[in-house]
Amino acid sequence: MPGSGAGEPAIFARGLVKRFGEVVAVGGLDLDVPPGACYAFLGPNGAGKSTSIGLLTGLFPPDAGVARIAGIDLRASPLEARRRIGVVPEELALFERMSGGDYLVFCGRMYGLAAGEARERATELLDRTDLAERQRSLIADYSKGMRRRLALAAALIHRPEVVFLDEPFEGIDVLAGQVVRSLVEMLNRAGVTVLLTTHVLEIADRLATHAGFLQRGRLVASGTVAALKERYRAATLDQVFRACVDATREEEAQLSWYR
Amino acid sequence: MPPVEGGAARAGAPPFGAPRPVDRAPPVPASATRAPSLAAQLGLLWKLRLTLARGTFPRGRALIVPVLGTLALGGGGGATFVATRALLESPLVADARLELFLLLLVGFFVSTMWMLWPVVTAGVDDAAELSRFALFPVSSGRLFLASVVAALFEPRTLPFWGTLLGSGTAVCERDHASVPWMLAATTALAFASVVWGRVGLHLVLNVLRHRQSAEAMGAGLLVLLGLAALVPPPDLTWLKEVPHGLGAVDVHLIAGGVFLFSALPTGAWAWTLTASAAHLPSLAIVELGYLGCTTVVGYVVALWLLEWFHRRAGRALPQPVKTPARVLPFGSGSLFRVLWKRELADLLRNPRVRLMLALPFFLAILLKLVGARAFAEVLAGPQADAWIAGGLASYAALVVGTGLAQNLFGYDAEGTALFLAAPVDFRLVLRAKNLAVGGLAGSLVAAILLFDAVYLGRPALWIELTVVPVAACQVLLSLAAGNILSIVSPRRFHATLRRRDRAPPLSTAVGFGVAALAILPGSLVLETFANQTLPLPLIVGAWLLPALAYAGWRASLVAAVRLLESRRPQLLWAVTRS
Repeated sequence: MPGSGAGEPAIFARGLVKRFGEVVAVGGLDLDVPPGACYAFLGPNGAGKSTSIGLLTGLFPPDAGVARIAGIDLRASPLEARRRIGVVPEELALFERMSGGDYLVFCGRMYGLAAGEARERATELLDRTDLAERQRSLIADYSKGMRRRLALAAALIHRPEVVFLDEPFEGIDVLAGQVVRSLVEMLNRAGVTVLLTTHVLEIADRLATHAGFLQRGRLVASGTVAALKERYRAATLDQVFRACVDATREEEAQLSWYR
Repeated sequence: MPPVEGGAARAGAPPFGAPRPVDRAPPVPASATRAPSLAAQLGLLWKLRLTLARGTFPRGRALIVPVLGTLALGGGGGATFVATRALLESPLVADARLELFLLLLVGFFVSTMWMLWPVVTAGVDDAAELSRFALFPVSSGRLFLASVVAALFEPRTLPFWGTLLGSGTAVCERDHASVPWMLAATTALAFASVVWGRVGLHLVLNVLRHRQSAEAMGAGLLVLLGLAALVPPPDLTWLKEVPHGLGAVDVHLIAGGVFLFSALPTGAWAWTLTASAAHLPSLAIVELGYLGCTTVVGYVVALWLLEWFHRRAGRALPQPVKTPARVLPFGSGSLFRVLWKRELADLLRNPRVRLMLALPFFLAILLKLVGARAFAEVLAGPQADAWIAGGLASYAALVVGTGLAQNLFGYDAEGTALFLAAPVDFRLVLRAKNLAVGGLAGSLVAAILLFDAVYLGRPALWIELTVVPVAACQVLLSLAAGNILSIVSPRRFHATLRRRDRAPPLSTAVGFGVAALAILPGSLVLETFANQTLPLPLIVGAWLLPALAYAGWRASLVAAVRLLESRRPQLLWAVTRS
């Protein structure tokens, strides 16, 4: 892997802290994701997953701590590190009044590709994500699934070494989910490191080689999926989640006027 | 199949094919189906309006609305009372026709403002009020009645009430008109204004929600332009007599004005007061009846438009429109070129920006229709052309400057994350955005000056030569302030005409400051024209202004990039949240 030193994790974080006023969104995150892993970054809503991704992709700087991507310090060489990152944020970074095709070419140019190369890759990505027929439509007219597929395509156009996917399966249908899933599997086979967040633990179970559980801005468990299941004597990641994240409500829902 | 766990299984689900218990609607308690009373609904609406009025002030919310309300009603009413009384006592208004003419003007202008106010300020709250209430178990008729009555006494109407009541009281005191008749006439005019204001509001909201609203408005602009070209300019020669006193104005012209304004429904207010003073109650009844009839017509039209709005609510969007294939493929050239081309294309596809670009042309048409050149000649003499050209150019420059430059990422929304995540020097992004916005503003200034030359007057070349650099200076100053404000005080702006997002108060305040600063050189230039000095040094001086503003703009780029490093999350949060 270019940029990765021998034994250097693809994603490395030590003591990452991010506060918003008095709220501590990420409270000392330590993370090691080995190169080529598919890391499921799991946790309840508000645990700090999206903020962590923002910190690890250089969207905003941490208040404290160190983050390295493929061996490159995000703070010391932010542009160099960003070149190696592909990201699909939870709120997709799309420009609604661009056509899908133009958007992909634009992203390619933003990540340093020449115009011709950007167009070639955009064409291939549009085919691969079943968007070729709608490449000239404005993104404003795209469905939720199409937007998500386009955002994923845009994150891959510059051949990143590390890909961050924040909720890639949120609000999309079975077919769009299949496209996203097969792209993630393809990335994994190509040796690309993938960090994804999702609330669909069955999918995480199927795709992930490694997993980490975040609660209140801290990683409470991390390791290979097999090791985690063994440690918590669980058959699924869902059971691991319930065992290590104490935010479950077992009582039956009741409304007084429905009794 | 494994047994299904869930409510139905636990309750003993019926065999397949048998009628399910949920098919029979369970008895609903009466309280769940009863609509709220009209009084309760009115109370809710007033509370909502009061909360919205309070929400516009950051501090001292508890007191600010009562204080401003008292000032508007008491202070405004008192001032109007004193002004009207002084005017009526003045020997200038010795003729009874002139007194009636002035009262007709008061009724017309107050009512017009009252009607236009909700249309001009139509925003997301109005659209939401109309849409969300459609879900409640209240009929459209009842909803509309509550809205009209609530709108009659909401905080923003207090200045209108104050003006009408102040003027009316002055007439009652001087001419011994009956106070009950005055109150009846004022209430009737207020009701009519609210109802016709609702017609405008519902019409605008129906147009705004339409997918091709920008095209509809563009077509409206063209029609208006065509009609305005056909309408002969109003005869305003009498304006030249005004500086010599109202008494010097030809009385036939006043009679003509009285005739014109009396024919309008708003004339009923002045005529009712006059009839009451002359002890002619039958005439007052006829006038109020006329006003009442037009109010009923307006009520029916507004209600029909509201029902149309509700009928269209929740409909599926039309089929997506495919953009036509381009001759030149996107993405060629340097990265800077790609960035500004994207920005420009994005802005030009934005319906709100298109509307913004049309505003100066609407203003120019309006100026033509009201004979603004004649007014300008009375006020500015031979410099009238310079004032009109300068005013239009400044307006065009500042519309884009304050509307777009001060919130450069507001329309990008989630797309802003790409600028922050990509390995690109942020200064390049800012410069590209500035070039697109500045270029758009410059093009608009050029277009409006051409429009002015062809449509309104024939300004001399030296006027154009001076106005252009002054406008360029305004654009550059707006961009410089905008670069900082876009980072310090960003807010998401939706690219749809259905929402009327407001700029943050800080941006608005600084925007006004920059606009004043940027207009200052232009005003000095125009003032110097008035003093008949040589234009050549002035033109040279005017062209130095953009050079100074350019230096300020360059400095703003550096400052903005520094600021961004500490405000990345705030920027992202502000432009991605609705």
